[in-house]
Amino acid sequence: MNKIEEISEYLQKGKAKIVKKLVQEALDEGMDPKVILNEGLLDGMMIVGGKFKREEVFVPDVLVAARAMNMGIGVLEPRLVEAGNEPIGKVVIGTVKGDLHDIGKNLVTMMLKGAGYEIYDLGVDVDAATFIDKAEEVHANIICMSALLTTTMPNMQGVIDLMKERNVRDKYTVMIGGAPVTESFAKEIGADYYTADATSAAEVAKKVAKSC
Amino acid sequence: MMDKFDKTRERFIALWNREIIDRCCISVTCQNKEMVADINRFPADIREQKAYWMDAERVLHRNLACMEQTYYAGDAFPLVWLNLGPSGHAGFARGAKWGYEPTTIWFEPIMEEGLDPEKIILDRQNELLKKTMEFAAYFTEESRGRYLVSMPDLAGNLDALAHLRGTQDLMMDFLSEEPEVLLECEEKVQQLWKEGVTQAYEITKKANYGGSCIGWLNTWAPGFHSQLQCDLSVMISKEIFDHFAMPELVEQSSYLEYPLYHLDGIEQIRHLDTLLSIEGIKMIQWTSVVGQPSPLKFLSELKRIQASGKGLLLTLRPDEVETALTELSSRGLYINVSADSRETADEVVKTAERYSRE
Repeated sequence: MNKIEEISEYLQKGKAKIVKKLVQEALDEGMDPKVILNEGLLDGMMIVGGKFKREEVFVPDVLVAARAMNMGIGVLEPRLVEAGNEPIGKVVIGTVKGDLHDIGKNLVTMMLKGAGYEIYDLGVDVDAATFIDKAEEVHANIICMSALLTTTMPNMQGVIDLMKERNVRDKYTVMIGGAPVTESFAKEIGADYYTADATSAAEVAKKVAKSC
Repeated sequence: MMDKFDKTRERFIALWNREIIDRCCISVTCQNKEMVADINRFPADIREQKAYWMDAERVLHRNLACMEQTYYAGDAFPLVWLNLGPSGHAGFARGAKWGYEPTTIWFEPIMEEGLDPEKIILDRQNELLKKTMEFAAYFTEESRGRYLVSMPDLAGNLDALAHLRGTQDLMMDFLSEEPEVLLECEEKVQQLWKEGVTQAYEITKKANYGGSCIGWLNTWAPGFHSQLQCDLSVMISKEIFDHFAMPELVEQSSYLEYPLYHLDGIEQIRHLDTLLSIEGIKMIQWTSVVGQPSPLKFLSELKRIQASGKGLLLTLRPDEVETALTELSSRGLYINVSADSRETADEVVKTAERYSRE
């Protein structure tokens, strides 16, 4: 097994300290930081995402893998900046106003990061104006909204309505998700995409990046 | 409204004994939803928000006002909810922190640095524990045969531990190299749970014909009855569930006389074999969360629950009752229905009378 495969393998097992050490060793051996990122860390994370989608692994496995990915990226970051590595796009993400649930949103954040996006995570209980202001500020491609309560789902509509009011609806792809959210609800409120899980969200976001 | 409770009580006793008197147990309610939403409106003024949740008189007043807007058919009965946050026993720990939201009380982690069993200490002077028992006593004293009083929402030790630790961190703790620390924490949470359910039952049984109720499920049992759950199990594997959730459920189901497990959504089907293997669990309540197919799409699982000798509680639409009764045995079956009109509510009860079967 070569170093890149090892990084991917240990990332999938959630062994953060080992991943950090292997990434440093790979850099010391003169490997291209972009190769370490794309073929070691991000590919490893996408493999975990695939297993998650197929219910071969569950949320704890994804979280520990993401923790390992972040540790590896932490080591790589200075070298990536030097190399001028560009993200494939920018995402503004948050849980809508009135809703304090964040696990689903955090999983999507991790998978989108694994897909190569730069993430602006607004946290929970985010109002409509904050989503749009941040997206405008950072020139985002995608706005992602999460809700876990039937009582807060309508606040997704509130964000889209405010986007229309400000004439910025067409500037962004709107993706929504969360346990009570459905495809038909997404159509009803005029969102571009509904995805049922974090891996599907990353797959859709990758397609969005290619179409930009 | 409580005048027909004697017959209802007979049906509930039969339900727990898996017998049928005349038909299956069925609760049908019809509410004026606009009025109920208005009654339960959360105050915008931040100074009022604590009182909305913590003032027993206000809470009882809202409950009574909602009862006036509710039509009770079949075995439905007026019931005061004792709700101070889901898995509220998390709040009985020393140093517990919580906040007041429109639909719930929300707990904040106190173990962000790492799991620590020493930090989970039952605090008998804790505001939330004292308030829970104050509510139980006040609601019981005021009931005077007008309504029954629910047990508090103290279900799920792992869910309570998630409040105290933070759900995301707890998820990763499941895969840590020191699983025994997590199990020790669960034992400490079990003490919080036992204190809460035991005290609440001893107080409220006076209003409940010697038994107890689960508010949001409209259940009554002739003894010590409360809800078991592990809502976070939608996120974990069967192996993790068996290792970390099963011990809690085995102990709780032997501590209670009438334990009911709240199965929250189809992602928990992977844990069904484990649940059915726990002898003490007397009933399983199947919830399809919003966006998921009706429980009746999972008839084979529902039949497995019945075949295991456990009771089954389903929440169904009025038009689903006939199918449920045709497909499932009425022994040990309890159905909850929300109807849009009194006529529909009465019709649903007639359907239950017509189609109940062995």
